[in-house]
Amino acid sequence: MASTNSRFDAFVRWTGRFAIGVALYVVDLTVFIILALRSWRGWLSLEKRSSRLPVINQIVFTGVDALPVITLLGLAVGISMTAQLLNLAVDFGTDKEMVQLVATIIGMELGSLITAIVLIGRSGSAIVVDLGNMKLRKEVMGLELLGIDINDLIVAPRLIGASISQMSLSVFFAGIATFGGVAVAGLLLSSSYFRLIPPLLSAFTPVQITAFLIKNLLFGMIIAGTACFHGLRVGVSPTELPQQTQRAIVNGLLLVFVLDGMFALALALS
Amino acid sequence: MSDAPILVARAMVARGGRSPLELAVARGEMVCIVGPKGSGKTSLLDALGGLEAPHSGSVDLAGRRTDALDSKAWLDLRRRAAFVIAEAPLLSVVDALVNVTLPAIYHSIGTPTEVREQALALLERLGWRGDLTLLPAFLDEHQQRLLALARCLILKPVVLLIDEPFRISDVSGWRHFGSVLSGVRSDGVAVVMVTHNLAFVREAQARIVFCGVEGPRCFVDWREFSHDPSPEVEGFLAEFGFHAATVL
Repeated sequence: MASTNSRFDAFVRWTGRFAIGVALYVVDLTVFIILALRSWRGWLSLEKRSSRLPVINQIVFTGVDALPVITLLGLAVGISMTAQLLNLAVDFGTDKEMVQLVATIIGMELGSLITAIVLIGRSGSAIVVDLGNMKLRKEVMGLELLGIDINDLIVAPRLIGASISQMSLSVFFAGIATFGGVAVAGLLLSSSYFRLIPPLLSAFTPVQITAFLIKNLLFGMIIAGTACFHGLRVGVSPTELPQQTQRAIVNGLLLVFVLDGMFALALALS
Repeated sequence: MSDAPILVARAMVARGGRSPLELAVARGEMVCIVGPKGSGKTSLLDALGGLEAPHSGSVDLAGRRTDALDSKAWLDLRRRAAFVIAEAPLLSVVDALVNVTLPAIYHSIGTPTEVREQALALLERLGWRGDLTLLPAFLDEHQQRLLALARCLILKPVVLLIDEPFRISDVSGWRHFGSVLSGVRSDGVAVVMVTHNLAFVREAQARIVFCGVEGPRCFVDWREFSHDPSPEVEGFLAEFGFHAATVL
């Protein structure tokens, strides 16, 4: 009995420590992101080349360069999921319900999550390795010794660029996966599915669209924020680089999924 | 040009140091910090340059007390007080010219075209010979060090603190870099460096801070340093092949 109690106590202690650790991590990350955004001089003037260029570079790397893979994934999800969903739902759902299903599941949820997963794997990991190597080679210190604010030159542009990219790519992905999926279902299964395209255009309410855009901006912040946060935590040993990369990817994924769940819950309750 | 000291250490004890240092460096002066390995030369330079708070005492650098700066004031100070660490790191993802122009463009010293012209003129004055379109990884260490120095000088600092500038140079390399540093000094910039290159220290007629077991000691020039009777200084000079008969 005493042994069971002590094991239970140990479990409670571990759970408490874990919860406090997670809460502190989220606070640390949030403060890090807020401080970086506050430092960005681009808020004052986007005409400044040194403020504008890093953001554009990040949008090109995270957004434009990821277009081919997002297009392919969007088409794949359209074919595999949207078309199948319609094929299954057609027997027991009305047109309105089918459109709602596709708009909510594929457009609103899957689009954001799959885009976020691609960006975490593609850009998040690249940012950690990039910043981690800069820390190891003392390039970050070299910049600071020139009076350059790292938050302004390096962190904030990545946060802003990744957020804009995540938002734009999610809209793009949602469009391809929903309309492409309906079109594929119409071409391959039955031409009657084409009738769902006009109602699909009006299926997204302004509240849903606003929540979708805000959610994806926050996803972008989380992806670049965790990446920069962990990249700049690399100290002097190269062995820290893979460790911090792994933490950035895992934590980024966790936070994105938790935030997505919170948004879904809030929308369902509203 | 004002004769007021640009760097003042008052009863300053660096991290791990033993005895306090009193030092005042005016514009156009050169101070070489020398001493055996592990004697705390880099810690002393870090404290003088505001990279680390002194253990006790205070440092005034370019008119600012270094232990009373917030992060923004510290970044502002770095434009006037240049610091090149021993590794002289450059930004590896941009080419040689951008490495030099980046700080000036960041601090809005001029338009990109003006900054580019300034950078090219500066590099020519420093005796740069090389391809400015190459990434730092494709440059030799002497060229990398010149670029690290150039990107500090483009901000027109009043004091330059530099750690081990001749660390990797061959004889022609250090002679060239030494003449560059002497030129920087002639332009009115105070130069404070850590070095093991006693041949340069002797030629440059610099003031000397010797870091020994008892802590840092100041000498007005090479002559005073080389005639110091303490066994520690004699032993240090002998280690580098400078004996009493040859020190002058």
